[in-house]
Amino acid sequence: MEQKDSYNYKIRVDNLNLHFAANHVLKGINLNIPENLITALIGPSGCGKSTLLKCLNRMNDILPDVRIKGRVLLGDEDIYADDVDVTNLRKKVGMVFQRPVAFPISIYENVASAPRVHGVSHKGTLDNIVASSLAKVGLWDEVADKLHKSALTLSLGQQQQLCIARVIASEPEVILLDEPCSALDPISTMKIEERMRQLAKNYTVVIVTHSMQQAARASDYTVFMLSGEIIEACPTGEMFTSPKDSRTENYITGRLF
Amino acid sequence: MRNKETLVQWILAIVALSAIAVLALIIIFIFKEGSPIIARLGLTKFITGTKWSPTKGMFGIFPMILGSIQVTLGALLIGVPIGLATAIFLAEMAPPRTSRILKSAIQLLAGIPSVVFGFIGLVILVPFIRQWLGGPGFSVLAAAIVLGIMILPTIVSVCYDVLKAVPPAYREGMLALGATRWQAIKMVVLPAARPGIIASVILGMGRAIGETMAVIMVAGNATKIPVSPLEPVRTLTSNVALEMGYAIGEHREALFATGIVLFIIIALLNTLARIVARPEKV
Repeated sequence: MEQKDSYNYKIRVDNLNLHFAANHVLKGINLNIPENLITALIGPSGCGKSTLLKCLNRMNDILPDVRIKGRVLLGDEDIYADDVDVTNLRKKVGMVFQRPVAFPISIYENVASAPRVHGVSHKGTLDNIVASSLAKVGLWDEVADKLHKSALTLSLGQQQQLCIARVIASEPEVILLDEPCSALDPISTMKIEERMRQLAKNYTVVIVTHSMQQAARASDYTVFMLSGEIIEACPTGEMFTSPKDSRTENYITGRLF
Repeated sequence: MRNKETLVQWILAIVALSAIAVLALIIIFIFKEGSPIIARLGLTKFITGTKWSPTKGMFGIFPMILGSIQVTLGALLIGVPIGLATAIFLAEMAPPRTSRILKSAIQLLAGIPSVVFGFIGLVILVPFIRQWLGGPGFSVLAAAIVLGIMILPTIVSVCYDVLKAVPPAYREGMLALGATRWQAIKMVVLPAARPGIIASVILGMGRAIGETMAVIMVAGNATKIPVSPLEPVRTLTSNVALEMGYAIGEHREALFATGIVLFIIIALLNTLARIVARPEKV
């Protein structure tokens, strides 16, 4: 897979293979993910895009029966090397899930849980982190006067924004989003996409999405996967106007599922 | 066909009502037998009186109320931390096989008759306390330890179920933030499980306050207010069980009145358990 070198790459995936029990889920993945841009992973259900995403912060580690071979470089560091501190990796590479995972504690504590995990306990520092993280996802104005209410009182869209705020609160370098809008209504989806655009100024964003429109609207770089392999990876505009591979063309025009 | 249906409905209704009727009769009976003496002595005098001396007509159950509270709190102090820690280990950390085996072992604990707990307390715990800590050995401490072990199955199994009911997404969400497993448990899983954990404590409390046989065997049963955990103590249930066999007249009434007080305490605990175990309103 050739990629143009006009980008700075934040993550380099080098011949990554993943087996889950007897299934060969990812087959020799080579991929470079550009820094401070939004990269979308698209492809039909079961093509391995979520699995690939989870490889980037080693969330597959918690599943039993998973074997991973190959290298994933974050900057210059191989995140699958033996001496890697996984908790520190996950601080640098944060993740937002498909269903919003708002913890059943207060809004404040939801966001504060991220810095607390990494040892911040000073009240003033936490206050600042909570406020700035909520502001960055555009949720501050809506929740400023009810920070100590349960996070479960928020709407689903707000809960997803809260989850993004929580990830930002641990000051990551990369933010992974696993179909973050699939449980949300169109207006919440639009808000999240706007936020992603803002966030990409400071963070490298990787999003898995089922929606071609979302990939086309909201991403700079698109990766098309099929049956555990990368078929095509190029700037979003190119992929949606002049796909090189016929399978890509079939998928984005809706002829392949 | 239609008639048969009606018949079945009636039979079930009668069975259900008779179960409730038995409960109602018990309550009526206890109150009928016990309330005259409370009326005669005055409720305050009955529950705050410190002298229990049936032969002299003195019926103060304050030492027993205090005894029940001390023994129960002691049991909770011992049983809750151990039970909760066990549940956390079984639900969150142990490999599934280990967890299954240990869980059935703990459920076995629930099947041991209380007299056996009392007997082991009597022959091992009481002499141990007498020799190493002083006092007669029959004591608040001995009763609390025995009860603390007896409430473990309740605490462990309720806490285990509650922890297992916490959505896995919460743990995953914490791990994805870079939390260790313990951090995930401490910061999110336990707060999410809190109402259920409190309910388990109250159920354990109900079990401890109602237990009689094992307590009688190790508590010493003196009717005075214990000033140290090494002194003997008598609980409300012990009081009824020990004296009912030979009590007549006013004495018998006073024992039923003890039952009324116990009944009210347990009813309050059950109500409390229902309130805290309710899912949090959003």
